[in-house]
This record gives sequence, C-alpha cells and structure tokens, in this order.
Amino acid sequence: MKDVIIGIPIQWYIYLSVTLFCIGVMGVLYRRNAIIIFMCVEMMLNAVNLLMVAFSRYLGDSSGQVFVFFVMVVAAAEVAVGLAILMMIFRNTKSTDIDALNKLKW
Amino acid sequence: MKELLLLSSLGIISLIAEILNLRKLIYPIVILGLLLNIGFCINDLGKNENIYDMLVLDKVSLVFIILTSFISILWFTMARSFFTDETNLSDHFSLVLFSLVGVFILISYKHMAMLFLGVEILSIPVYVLAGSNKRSLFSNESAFKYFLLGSFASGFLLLGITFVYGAVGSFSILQLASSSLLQVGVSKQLLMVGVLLILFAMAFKMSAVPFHFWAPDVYTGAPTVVTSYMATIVKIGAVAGFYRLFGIVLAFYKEYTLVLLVISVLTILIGNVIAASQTNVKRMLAYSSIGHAGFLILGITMLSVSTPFITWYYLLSYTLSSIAAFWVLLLLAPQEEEEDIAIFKGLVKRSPVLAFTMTIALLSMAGIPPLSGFFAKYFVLVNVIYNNQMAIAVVAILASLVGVYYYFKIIIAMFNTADDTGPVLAISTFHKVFLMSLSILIIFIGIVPDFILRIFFK
Repeated sequence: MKDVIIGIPIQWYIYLSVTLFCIGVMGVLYRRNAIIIFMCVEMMLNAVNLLMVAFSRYLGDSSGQVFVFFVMVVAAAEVAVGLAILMMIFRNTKSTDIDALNKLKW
Repeated sequence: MKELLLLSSLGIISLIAEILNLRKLIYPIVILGLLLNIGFCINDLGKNENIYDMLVLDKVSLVFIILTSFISILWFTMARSFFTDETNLSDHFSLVLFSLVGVFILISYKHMAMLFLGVEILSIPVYVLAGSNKRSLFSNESAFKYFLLGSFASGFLLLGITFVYGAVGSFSILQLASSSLLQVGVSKQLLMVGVLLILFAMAFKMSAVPFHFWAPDVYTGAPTVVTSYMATIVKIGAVAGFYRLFGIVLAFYKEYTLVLLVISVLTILIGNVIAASQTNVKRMLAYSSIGHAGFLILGITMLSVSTPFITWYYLLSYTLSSIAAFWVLLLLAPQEEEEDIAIFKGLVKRSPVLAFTMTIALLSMAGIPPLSGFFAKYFVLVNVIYNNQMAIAVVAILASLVGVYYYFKIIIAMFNTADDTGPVLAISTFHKVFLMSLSILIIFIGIVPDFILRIFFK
C-alpha cells in the first residue's frame, strides 16, 4: 500500500486538489444558502490542505505539514465568527438565504 | 518581539478589564501602551531583529509600525467618544487591538505562514466589528459580505502559498529571490500561478480593481467608527504586507510589473470616476479610498530605493486626512443612514472648526499644494515619469482631477450659506482641539516632507 502511495506522481495530487478547490469556488458562486456557502469555503481550504501535505511529502520537508495545522485553526476561527454573523442575520431576517441581503447597492 | 508581546497583552488586558470593573482605565492604558510601543520602536530603529526567521524588525517595518501605532492612537481618541453606553467598550477595544497585532505581523513577516496568519488575524476581528451594530440590517449585511468575500479571498491566498511552496520548497519569501534564476518547466509555472493567486488575494485586501466590489458596500454598511478603522489601519496593513512580498517579487520577476500597472491604473480610474457619481458621503469616501489604493500600488510597482518612503508618506498623509474626515462625519451624523452630502450644507456657519478641518482633509486628499496629499501624489508620479511611463502619469493626473471635482462637491456644500442652514452645532473643546491639531499636522507634513524623511529614513 505504501509503495502505491509513493508511486503516485505529484501531478495527480495537484489535479485532485485544484478540482476540489474549483468545486468549492463554484459552490460559493452558485449556491444561495449561507450554510452551504460556508461548507464550500471549508472545502476550498481543505483542498489546499491536501495539496500542502502532498507537497510536504514530495519535498521531504515537514514545514508544510505544520502549516496545515495553522490553516485548520484559522478555518475553525473563521467558521466560529461566520456562524455568529449568520445567527445575527437570522434573528433579523428569519432566513439564511443570502438574497435577503440586498440593502447595499452602488 | 516586545512590540508584538506588548500589543497582544494590551488586547487581553482590555478584554478582561470589563470583568475587573476597570472600564474607566481602558482608554488610558491602551494609549500608554501604544506610546510605549512607539518608544520601543524608536529605540530599536538601528537594530535588525530577526524573530525565528518568521518576522524581521528591520528599519522599514519599524517605521511602518510607528505609523500604525500613531494612527491607532488617533483612532482610539476619536472612537472613545462615539461608543454609546449600550456597546461594550472593552470588546471593541480588544478586537481592534487584536487586529492591530495582525497589522504588525503583516508589516514585518518574512515567512509565508506569517503572511497568511497576519491576514487572518487582521481580518477576523474586523468581520466582527463590521457587524457590531447588531440590530441594523445594513451592518449585518456588511459584516456578512466582508466575511464571505474575505474568507473566499484567503482561500486563494492559501492556494497561492501552496503553489509557491511546491515550486520553491520553502515558505521563506527570501527564497523566492534566490530561486528566480534556476527555475524552469513545471515548477516555474507553478511559481508563476502561485504568485499571481497571492497577488489577487492581496489586491482584494487592498480593495484594488477588479477586486473592489466589497469595499463600498462594507464601508457604507458598517458603523462609521469601524469604517474609519477599515479605511485607515486595515489599509496600512494590507499595503505594507503587499509591499513586503512584492518588493521582492517585482525585483526578480519582471512579468508582474505589467499586471500591477494594469491593476493600479484601473484602480485609480474606476475609484475616482465612480466616486464622482455618489451622493452618500461614506460611499464616496470608500470609492476615494479605492482610488488612493491605486496610487499606493502604482508607487510600489515603480520599485526603487525610495519606495518605502513614498509608500509610508502616502499612507501617513492619506490616513491623517481620512481620520479627520471621518471624525467630522461622526460629529455631524452620529446616527447611521443619514450620510447624504446635504448634511454638510452651510456647515461653515454651523461650526467653523468642523468646516475648516473637513476642507483641509478633503483638499489634502484631492492633492492640492501645499497640503501633504499633494506631495504624496507628487512623489509617486515623479517616480512614474522617471521610469518613462508618461502615459500612465497623464492618466493618473486626469483621474485625480476627477477627484478634485467630487471633493469640491462637499466643500461647496459646506460654504453654501444661501438658505436656512439649521442650528449652530455645539462641539466640545476636546474635539475642537484634536481636529485643529489634525489640520495643522496635515499642513505641517505637507510643508516639510524632507524633514519627515530625514527623521525616519536617514
């Protein structure tokens, strides 16, 4: 099993991560439910984490793996703040649809 | 190191001050701490401290930290008067102090993990601050938009950092310089794409066109005190962070000069032209801050030995004028949602001090000599002409002429005393003194830019 994982070329990891990242981007751009959008942002960050670990293994350098922990911590902090903001909006508009937020234009 | 520790502990102190019933003392402690911080920086000015290869406190970063601390002292002095009893003073203060830590990291990083952490430490408290007016739908919307687009942009920042790491094999930004000659093939492409993604994310944080769409909405919806913070100190952080990385990238990779030139010219043009059609003062100031970001990026793109000073001086003059303008706006319209230009009508009769300060601040932002804004723009444009980019200089000058038009809309409104102008405003002596000294400072640093240069960049 270990030989198989080492045998996978680094390009494959890049393709996989970029695909996941793009799915996340598309989700943020197309979905209208704020919770789903949060999940898509998380997906973007985790796609990057995957690539970071792959590069770290490929380069034989552990600092990339340490960086992943920082990314996880920041992602958790971001979600905590984001959900709090969402709760505040839900109290005022009774909805998690982002189309309800259309007060500020031009 | 001690600058960073001092700031973080100030944030924690003001967080627990509410519990210990030290509410009255928060403001003096914070101001003392920031003054102490300036003292530390001036003391360290000759040294070159390297903190675990993560941060470096060299001359440029120390000078930027002094600027940030000075502007935040002014901001705290202004903000203290405009928090009502309902809002929690200590929460606001500690959030701002924590995001100041992010600004410091962005000013002095040399490791890309610190770039990412700095951007996030700077942004996350500001997301909260933007939504601090809980019952206002405007504030809610602004916080949500800022949060969503901010975390979207940090995703791109992260992907860019990962690509650069994969290509270079290190997170150090100095490694970018040494690997500029050797790279070929796939890793070269990865590096190029990675730096481009980082560029987009930083352009988003600086609200440069075409990544500026969040800025007018967020600036308008957020409480005015917070808007003034975002337009000044957050901008310093973003621009300084951008300069740290792209000062190296632009010196070794000529490919990005064209990209940055296009971005900066578009930013100057679109920021100024759209600002001319605005009637809401906060939204107009938001677009004008986009235009100023364009000038700042233009100054960094024309990389030379004087770039740190040009950027620093531009930021100093822009933030001083911004703080003064927002201060007047806060005194005039403490309630949200009434920031139309009409509120400035006949201000010269209602309160001459406010009218004088606002005029000085706006003239400085428009770039009228002998105010500081003129020399800020002048230094940038001289550098542009020196690099044989005449067309760009002409476009930038034309765009700032458009700027003169919309700044004068407010000034004309202030000096229009034809109709009934409303009651005389009662402004306390405290505000008057600070506003007058701000105007004098704006005039002073405009008259003696070489004096400032000699003090900080000798």
